[in-house]
Amino acid sequence: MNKTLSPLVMGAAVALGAQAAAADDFPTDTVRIVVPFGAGTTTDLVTRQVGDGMSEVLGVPFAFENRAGAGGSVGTHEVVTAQPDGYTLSMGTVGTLAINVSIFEDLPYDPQTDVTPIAFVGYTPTLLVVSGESDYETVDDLVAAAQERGVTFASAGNGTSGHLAGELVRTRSGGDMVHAPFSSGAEGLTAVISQEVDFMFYHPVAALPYLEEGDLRALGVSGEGGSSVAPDVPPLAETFEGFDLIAWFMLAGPAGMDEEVARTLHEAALESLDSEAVRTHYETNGLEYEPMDYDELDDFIASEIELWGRIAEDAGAQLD
Amino acid sequence: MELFANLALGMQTAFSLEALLFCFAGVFVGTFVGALPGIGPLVAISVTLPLTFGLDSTIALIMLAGIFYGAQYGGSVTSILLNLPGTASTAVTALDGYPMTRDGRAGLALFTNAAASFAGSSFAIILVMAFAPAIGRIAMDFNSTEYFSVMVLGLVAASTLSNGSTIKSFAMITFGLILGLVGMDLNSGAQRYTFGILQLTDGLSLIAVAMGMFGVAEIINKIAAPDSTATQRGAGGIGLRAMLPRRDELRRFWGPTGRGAALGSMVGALPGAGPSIASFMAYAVEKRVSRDPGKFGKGAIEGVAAPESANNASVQAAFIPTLSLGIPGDVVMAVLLGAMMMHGVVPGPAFISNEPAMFWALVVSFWIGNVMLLVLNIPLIGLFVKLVSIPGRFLYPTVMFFICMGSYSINNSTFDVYVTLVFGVLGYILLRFGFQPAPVLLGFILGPLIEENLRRSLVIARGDPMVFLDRPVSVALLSLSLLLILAPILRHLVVRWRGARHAG
Amino acid sequence: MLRRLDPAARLVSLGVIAFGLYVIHEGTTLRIGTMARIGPGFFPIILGVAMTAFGVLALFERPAAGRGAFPARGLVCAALALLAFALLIRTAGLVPAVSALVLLMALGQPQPRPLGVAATILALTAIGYFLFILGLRLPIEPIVWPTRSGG
Repeated sequence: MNKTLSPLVMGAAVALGAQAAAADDFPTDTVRIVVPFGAGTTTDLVTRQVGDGMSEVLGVPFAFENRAGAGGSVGTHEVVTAQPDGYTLSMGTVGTLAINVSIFEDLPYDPQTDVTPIAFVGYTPTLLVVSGESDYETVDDLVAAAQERGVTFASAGNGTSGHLAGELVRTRSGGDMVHAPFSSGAEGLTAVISQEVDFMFYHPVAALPYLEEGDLRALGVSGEGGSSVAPDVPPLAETFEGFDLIAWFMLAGPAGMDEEVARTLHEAALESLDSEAVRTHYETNGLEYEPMDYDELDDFIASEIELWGRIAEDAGAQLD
Repeated sequence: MELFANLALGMQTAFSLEALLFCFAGVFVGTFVGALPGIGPLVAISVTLPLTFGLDSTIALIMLAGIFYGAQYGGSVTSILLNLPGTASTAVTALDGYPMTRDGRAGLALFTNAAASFAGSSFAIILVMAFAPAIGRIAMDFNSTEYFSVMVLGLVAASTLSNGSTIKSFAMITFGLILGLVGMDLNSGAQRYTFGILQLTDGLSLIAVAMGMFGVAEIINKIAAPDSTATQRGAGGIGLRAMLPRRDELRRFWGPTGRGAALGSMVGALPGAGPSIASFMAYAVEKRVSRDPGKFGKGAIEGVAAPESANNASVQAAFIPTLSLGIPGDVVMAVLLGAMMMHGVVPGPAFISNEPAMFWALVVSFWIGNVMLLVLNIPLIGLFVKLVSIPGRFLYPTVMFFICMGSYSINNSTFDVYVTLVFGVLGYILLRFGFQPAPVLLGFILGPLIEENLRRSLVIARGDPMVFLDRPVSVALLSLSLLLILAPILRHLVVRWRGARHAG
Repeated sequence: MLRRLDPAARLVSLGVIAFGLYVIHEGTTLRIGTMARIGPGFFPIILGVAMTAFGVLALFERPAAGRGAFPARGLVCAALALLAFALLIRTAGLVPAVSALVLLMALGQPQPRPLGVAATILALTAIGYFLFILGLRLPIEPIVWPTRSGG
């Protein structure tokens, strides 16, 4: 129906501030998704894939804008202060919607009150990897070494999910594990391969070529469900009870969005995620996906904030 | 020979009509985008990326890579002609390129730029062809201690960078190092010098600082005399003869170009070290080995040839760590890496053996692209040189507009425009009192790397400083730095000793 | 020695010293750490000390020779041009931002010519629209109409 309306009429409706009418017809204009990380990052790739599919479903163009900075806080903050009309969204991550609130002292937004969650769009577990030339064959070997002489672990930076996962291993095993942050995950990975550091948590797809070459060995996977690209790697939950950490992505908008608009976007995202193009992309990039009900999203964010907050607090002694 | 079989494999794809077409499109866009002050390959690649989804992934990468190295050619044009470097690496080219323009030798400077760029790239491409898998392995053995030592060497070598007062030059390097501190500390997560501004958490933007200290400062310097053109003596001849080097100039071309190419390839092969470090170091080396260091900064052809050869070589060589380790040398390379992932290409040690057709097609296309760039750039010199005869009242607002758009486009944010403004005004005042901007950029680039690697080395060694003397490469690099510091003193002593002997 | 220096050059050196002291001051609020875990304050303090020292040394140096008159008008106008662009580009759009930039740049020159200014505005707006908005797809509006942002 709304496709037959002339742009002129639509323009007038928007100009009059006819919010209620706009909700029925949503969307009539370009939807902008802010990616709070740089071009070419996993978040960026996910956003573009899912967004392109949503654009087809809804019949309006989608525009993507990279606004990187402060672990995603800059871009997210911009979106939470925008009009909650559904035309400005952000791709949230485990970082922007769960971890940052415990890591950044003055985070300018509250992921529980300033955000309208729209759709859970996927996740990836991470692998605990060690050098292929090291003596560590199992997680127990690593823990024994940590208790005996101490080990080191790399991450893509302070307060990243990989760092906190390492800290969780440290607190759960009670071993001596020192964190060495790198400026990117790939740099940390080469340090693991050359045995400059002992272990790190890393994305399965990026680690896979090294695992095949024997440069790396995966001792465990962070998610309880395992990883589809590395099905033979045992979950860390087998060693540390209840160990279940994943990096996830969630489409979100500013607080106060019309529920109908949010649900329209939610359905469009699910449809996009069902498409062949997105499925193929997820498979090649090791991204997992399970649909999550619209009504579950708020609770999910709350539980994740609680989970990561506790790890960060336990790690506190090391997080200066 | 395996190499020839591989090359033949690559040529099959790279010489296909489609590949040639997209390669040309890439280098063409790259040259022009690079030539616009402040815009650079980052925006161009980010924008072109979604357009390449429909293409075969090899063809897409050939084009995107073409934009990247094409921009390195174009990037030097405004720094030579207008003293407006768009990136830190071309800031070095401006040191001697702009004085050449002022002497009416703009054509020669641009020709030197194109020729040295081509020579540097070709050298690095041959190196990539012959040793790519081996280089990837060696780079992996370079750990934090070696990085620390090589960065210290870079800093020491480059302390000779600018002319004029040594004290002021050191002060400006220190200033750059301090600017590099701004943002969230990698090791502790502590905010340093951010004044509670969220945008400063990731540090100051190198591009915004460079455009302010060079571009805006230069405009302030010139705006007062509106009807003068960029140079008082005009463009000089633009015929073929004015462009080509004389025989003595040609002799001075090869040495710096060769050394620049070798140095650039080495730096480029190191994961995480971008083209800026390569050009700074190449310039410093030339000034060290020259019999007449005084001519640098006054329009020495060596001062254009060496950094241009080095930065282009490093850009080509940087594909090794990017493809084999997934570690990009700078932001632009990082976006390119993202583009590869988007096309389903996962970098890794097995990339070359798993995807030989793609790897070799890419390498062969680099060379084709460089030949295209040479052919494209030489005729354009005549056109580019005319830029300097545009009256200031048109030129300066235009350049200012490009600076604004360029700094805005870094993060799609006006914050970087304010940063450019602050550093423009500051840079002008400092320049007026003899504080040169080039060392600031060097300190800014090297500072975070030095601090990060020193601290990481010590964390891993659990506080034992002897870690820097444990590994031979690190020891060699640190000794070389020490030698460079002591060299002037030793030379002084030798001269005095000889003098005393003659007198005796 | 000090007598021969002009006051402006000395002021700049004093500025360098003040900056160095500020860097030290800020650095002391951060942890210095230990050998095994160097804190975030270690480097800033070293660099601040170095900066201060170079500032002191620069006080005693001869100033760079051959400066012309201070281009106060050019400096102010160039700075205002950048400021106006930054303030207007998102809130008002490309056309107003470019117009303000070109006008302010023209005011910085001794004899602004209205026709040249108009031509430059027209040309740059066209470049901005075709190259940056259509070509490079920067998220910029040509003109932001007040009613839309309010609605």
